[in-house]
Amino acid sequence: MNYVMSSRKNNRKKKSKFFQIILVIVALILSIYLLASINFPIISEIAGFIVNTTSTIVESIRGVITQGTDYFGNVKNLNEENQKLNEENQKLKVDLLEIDKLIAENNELKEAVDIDEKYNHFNKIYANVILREYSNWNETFVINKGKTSGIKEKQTVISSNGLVGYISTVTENTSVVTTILDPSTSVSVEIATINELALAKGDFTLKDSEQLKLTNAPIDCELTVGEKIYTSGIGTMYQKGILIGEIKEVVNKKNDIDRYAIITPFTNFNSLDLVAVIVE
Amino acid sequence: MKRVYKILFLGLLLILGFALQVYLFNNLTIGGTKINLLLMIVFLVAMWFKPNYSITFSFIIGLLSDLIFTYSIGRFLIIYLLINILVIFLMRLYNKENIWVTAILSLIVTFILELYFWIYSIIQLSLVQNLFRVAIVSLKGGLFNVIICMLLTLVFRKFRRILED
Repeated sequence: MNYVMSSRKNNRKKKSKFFQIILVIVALILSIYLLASINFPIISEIAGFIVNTTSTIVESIRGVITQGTDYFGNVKNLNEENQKLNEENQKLKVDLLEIDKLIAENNELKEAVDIDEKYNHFNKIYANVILREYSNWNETFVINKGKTSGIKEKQTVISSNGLVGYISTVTENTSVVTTILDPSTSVSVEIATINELALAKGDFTLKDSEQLKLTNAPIDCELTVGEKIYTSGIGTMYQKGILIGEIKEVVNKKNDIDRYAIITPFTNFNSLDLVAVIVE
Repeated sequence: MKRVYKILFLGLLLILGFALQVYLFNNLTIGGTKINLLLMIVFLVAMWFKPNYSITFSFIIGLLSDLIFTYSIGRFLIIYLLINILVIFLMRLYNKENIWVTAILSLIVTFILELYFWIYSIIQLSLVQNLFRVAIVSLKGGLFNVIICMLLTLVFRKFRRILED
């Protein structure tokens, strides 16, 4: 009984203390506000500082709470927006793929136009490179046109940058092109400015750096670096006047007959995609 | 059941090998040398599989290589079969688990392949070339082949349970 009585008394005491504390805080806040309104510079500054600080704290807490409620309120909207954006993103990705395809097609057409502008006097069939051989001793690739398109063996293959090679094997729908870099090929060429004939041969050692060897040039003719090399038209394989490349280096030997030059073809054989086969 | 898994594994290897060789490695020349993934696959299959599996696999891969890349039959078929037989013989002497054995043998088979193409160019194309070039091409190509071979060995080890009887 005594225990119950004493606990009640304790509760009352606690309540009265609590109210006292609240009253003191309210009185303090009121007095600070009152002091802030009276013109005592130091006191008003201190009071103003306290008021400002408390109001900033209160404002920032309110801001955080509002942001939180806004965030949770907007989650549903955000989800919907996210879904819409995802759908849009997917559509854009598909569009981008289509654009890439169109760019590739455009590049191919540009290449075709380029070939046509340079070699419009030839009757040509355009074909795409579909396979490259992986031996380190040959330089051949496969194109997607064959007998059904009118392609025959030993026809000349060109790109927008010049001579590529010749058709070595033909099937119904595909053909093998042996490039001029292949060590088994040799092309009769003409050195542009001096109108002299020579032979451009594929070479095992130069093949790796995509270069050709120029041999059999007349002893008295002067070979100069930068000289352009064209096909001479001699022989049955290549037509006359197709650009091959330019002389990069002249290698002189003790014996004049042994001298040779290194030709850098203008065609980039590794990145060939579209070629034209001269069918006429 | 294990037989089915083995055939599936080899089928997958064949498809992936050709796809990677055609679309990636054939367009990628490093120092003028191409990586021969198919050769490394033939070599590792000969190392890890029983002769009946590996010889059939080499025959198919050689035949397909010939038909796809050279439009004739024999050039790749012969050399892949020869390499397979040689590896089968060597596996009786050496341990396939030894990584050094794998690395050195992959270099040797690359050299044999390049030597074969050198002989082929003399016989078929009448082009005589310094034998020194075989060594250069083998070394250049061999280094890349060894790296590819090591990566493939990891795959073979991962599937050890299927491959071993």
